[in-house]
Amino acid sequence: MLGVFVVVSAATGFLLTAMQRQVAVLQATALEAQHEALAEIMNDSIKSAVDFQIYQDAPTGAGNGPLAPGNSSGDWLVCVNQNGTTRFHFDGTQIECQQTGNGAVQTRVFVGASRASPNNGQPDNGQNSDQPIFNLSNLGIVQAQWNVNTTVDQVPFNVFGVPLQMQ
Amino acid sequence: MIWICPTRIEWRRYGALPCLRGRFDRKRRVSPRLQSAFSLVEVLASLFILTLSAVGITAAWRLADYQELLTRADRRAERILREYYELQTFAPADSRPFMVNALASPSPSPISGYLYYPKLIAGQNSSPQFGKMIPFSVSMTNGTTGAQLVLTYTIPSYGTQASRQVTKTVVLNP
Repeated sequence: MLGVFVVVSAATGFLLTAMQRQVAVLQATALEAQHEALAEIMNDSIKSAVDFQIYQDAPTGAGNGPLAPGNSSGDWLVCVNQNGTTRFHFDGTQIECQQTGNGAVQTRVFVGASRASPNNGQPDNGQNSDQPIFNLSNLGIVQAQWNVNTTVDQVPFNVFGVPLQMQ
Repeated sequence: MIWICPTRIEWRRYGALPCLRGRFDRKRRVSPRLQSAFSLVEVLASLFILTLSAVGITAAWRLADYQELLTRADRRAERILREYYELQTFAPADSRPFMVNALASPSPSPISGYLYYPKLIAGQNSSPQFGKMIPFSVSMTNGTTGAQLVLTYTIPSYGTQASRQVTKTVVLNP
């Protein structure tokens, strides 16, 4: 009786562990795919932008005129192209993408984001920096850099974009 | 109640003591109250089958995990190559990761990094720690069709399969 109990318990534990691991891997893959889609949206928005600005604080005003002067780095990125305006905002744990065009507003939230470490391409081992995720180099390259902490690993994302007027 | 005993035991219908089946018990009694138990051989055989099943399932699980890691590494390598292609193609000349005149030098310095930062088990508390796996390097070479970006990464070994290098190439627009 004890032997049967031990065998059944071991098999159940093994099965539960395998299922738990598989769920974690599936969640990690899904989260990475979501942020990959975000990187694509960001890349397209930057490359097709006729006007863009980076802000450290929430941009004020949403008129049809030119964007207010911004900063060289910050957690807000606003891109204006022919289809409308795309606004990205990182609030410390997630990136919000708001697309406005033809009077419709579409907002998508990408959770699980964190600031990238200052040393590019290296894992962020708990050293959360205050480095903004959006940066503009002197030569006009817009760079977005963030990390995604999944259940099994950390995925660094780097988006480089050169707006139309800079190409 | 299930008994585990090296030999089968039959219970006498009206007796208090069990009767061992053997050559001294030629007359088999068919009793409606016959109770049987698992023999040691049966238990050992079931344990053996269960162990084999566990080993098989674990091997299949590890293989699936390994293939999934390869798929993710492949997608990340493509993403990184696409980023550097964009940068090398559209960025101003001074901001490009590879200088055009670097092709003339014998070995222009490649860009290196890792494709996989697994979460370490010891660091599953508030500040997780991450390891480094699957190193990659991006370099620019002069191929037959012109300048091209080459990304090379090393995938880890699996079982008897040795680690090997994977190369991805994209031709730069002139």
